[in-house]
Amino acid sequence: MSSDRIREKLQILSAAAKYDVSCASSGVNRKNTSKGLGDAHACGICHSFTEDGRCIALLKLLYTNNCIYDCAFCISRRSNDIPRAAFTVDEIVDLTVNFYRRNYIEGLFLSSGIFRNADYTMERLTLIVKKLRLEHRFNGYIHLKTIPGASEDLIMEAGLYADRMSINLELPTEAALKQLAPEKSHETVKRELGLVHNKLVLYKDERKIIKSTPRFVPAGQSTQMVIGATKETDKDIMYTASAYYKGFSLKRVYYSGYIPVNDDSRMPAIGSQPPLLRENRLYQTDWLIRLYGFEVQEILNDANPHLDTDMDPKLSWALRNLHMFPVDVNTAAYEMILRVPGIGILSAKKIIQARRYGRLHVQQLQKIGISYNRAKFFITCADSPYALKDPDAVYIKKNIMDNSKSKYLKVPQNQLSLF
Amino acid sequence: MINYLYDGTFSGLLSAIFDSYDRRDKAVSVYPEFLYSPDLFLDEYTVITDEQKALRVWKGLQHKLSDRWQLNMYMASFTENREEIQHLFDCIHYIFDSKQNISYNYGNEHVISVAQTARKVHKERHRIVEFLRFQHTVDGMFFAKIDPLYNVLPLVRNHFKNRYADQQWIIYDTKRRYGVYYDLHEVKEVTFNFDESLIDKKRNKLTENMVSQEEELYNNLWKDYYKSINIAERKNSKLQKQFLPQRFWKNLIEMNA
Repeated sequence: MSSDRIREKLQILSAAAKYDVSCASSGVNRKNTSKGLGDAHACGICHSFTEDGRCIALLKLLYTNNCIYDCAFCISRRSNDIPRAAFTVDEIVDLTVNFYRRNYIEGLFLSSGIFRNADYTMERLTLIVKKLRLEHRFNGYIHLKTIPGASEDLIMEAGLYADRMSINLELPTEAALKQLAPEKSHETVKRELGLVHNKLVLYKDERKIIKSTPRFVPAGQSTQMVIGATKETDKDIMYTASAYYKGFSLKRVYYSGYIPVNDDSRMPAIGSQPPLLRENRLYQTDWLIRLYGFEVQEILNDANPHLDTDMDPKLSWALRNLHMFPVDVNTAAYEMILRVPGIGILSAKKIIQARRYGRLHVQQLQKIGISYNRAKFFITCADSPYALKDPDAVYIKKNIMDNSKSKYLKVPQNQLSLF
Repeated sequence: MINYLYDGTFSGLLSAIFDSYDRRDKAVSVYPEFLYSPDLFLDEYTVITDEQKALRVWKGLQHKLSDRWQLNMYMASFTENREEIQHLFDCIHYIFDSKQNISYNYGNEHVISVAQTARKVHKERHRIVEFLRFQHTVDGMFFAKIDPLYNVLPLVRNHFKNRYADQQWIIYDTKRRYGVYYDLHEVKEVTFNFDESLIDKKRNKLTENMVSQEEELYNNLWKDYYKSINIAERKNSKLQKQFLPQRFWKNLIEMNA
């Protein structure tokens, strides 16, 4: 292959893949037992960080950016006049192996435009993963996109070689999708997430009894939706996410702030700022639901359909529920300590362990690593100062805001408005 | 008060623990050799590293500590900071002197310090795992050089052995002037003085005649990839530097266009 042509292809097909957010390389322990190449770590490893602050763990590529679909939000849609390219199977295999050997990457993230039809495309992707695993004895991480509409057999075969599979919801609601990508539907996504999910559960159960049962998508599934392209509320978005987490045991839902790539009067104009703050708040909410034991209805509901922009959702929730505070860190349950603004998972665990040796004081809590300036309004400990009256939400909020430097204070105001 | 001087190894520190009980010294300040400047007003005692004594202390600790905390102790021993070493020393004393298992008493200043130091060392180890880069040489070897804050080579060698089982590689610590070499069978420690003339100073990598033919192509492909996967509209250099500290940039070809 000529080196100029491969460089050109890589530039086109990685630039087209950059809007896929997931770069996780975690969730699977794939051991290198055959003295082959590579292994995969449960906790995931990043190998570089681009100027936008995002990590590079995987070589993220489209097999081709030729596509039969015409989705309004997508740079690769068929009606766009852009340079098109397609890799060969060997080119992708070769890039992956050689990048991996130099410790540039943890593995491959492979997606594609739909070329000819769904089955043809899925078959190519499967060929690539199969070749890596079988011919090159490659044990690195592989994240494979499920091509919407591909046949069950092909998806099942691919799942034997991939660590994670994903298929994008694209937009938070079916209505929005119908409007901007009429050829796609959430029903297809559900069908395929369901196929993989059922098989995954089945294989996992069988493996408990028969050790030789092959692994099937051991790192689970994820999905992604674009936010800020259409006019959903934060509540709409998070309720959808929550339903998919529950329905398909997804490992992750990714929220991708829309970056206008096409001229379309139905969406934000080219050049408008991506809604980064909103995206950040959605991820914070996602964390609270997955890891902090919150129900989505506690954070977002009809009275509060949008997340606050000036403070994080955990603080908002606490200020709306002051009757549940203060929490005595020396006696309260772990679940309640976890809900205190300024206390994270690691600190909460340390507090539970440490308090068995004696009542904890302010100084000890600070050393353990909690954000005391934030937490102090919501906790009592061995030497808490005696308060004359309970402070109100306005006072607490002002006090915390005045004493903390939000990373978004310097963000120009126009970025806060979504349209 | 008495100053203990030891050789800077974990065995040395454990020997110091042994001796402090043996000699019934209270209020001991420990110093690794590389951090010591004599203090005229204080007594001084030089610890002689003794593997037998160290092993006895370690076995005693194993009885009292969970696996997790044994690892914490070992990791923390890689620190090169005097105060953190002192906390580690005092923490071990605290553990031996208490009847109950106190290793999760994060309210104690020594315990929390050791936990935090272990985390720092672990983080540095992880960063080497992330940001180490191999170059493919003319003789088929993969070569990497590192200069970590702590002596983490012993902590990363197994990671690379498991990962790159079918290629020969060398990782060289330029700060501590030794390396590890994997010959397709086992990892050996190698001490040699690295010939600086093999490095292209301007680009901080092996000179052109040292690397394999395809090395330049893959370097370029990687740099291309790094550029095209970035989303310009989301630029956030502060976040980038937080995850990828600038001290690593010199070893990363993508950061030196």
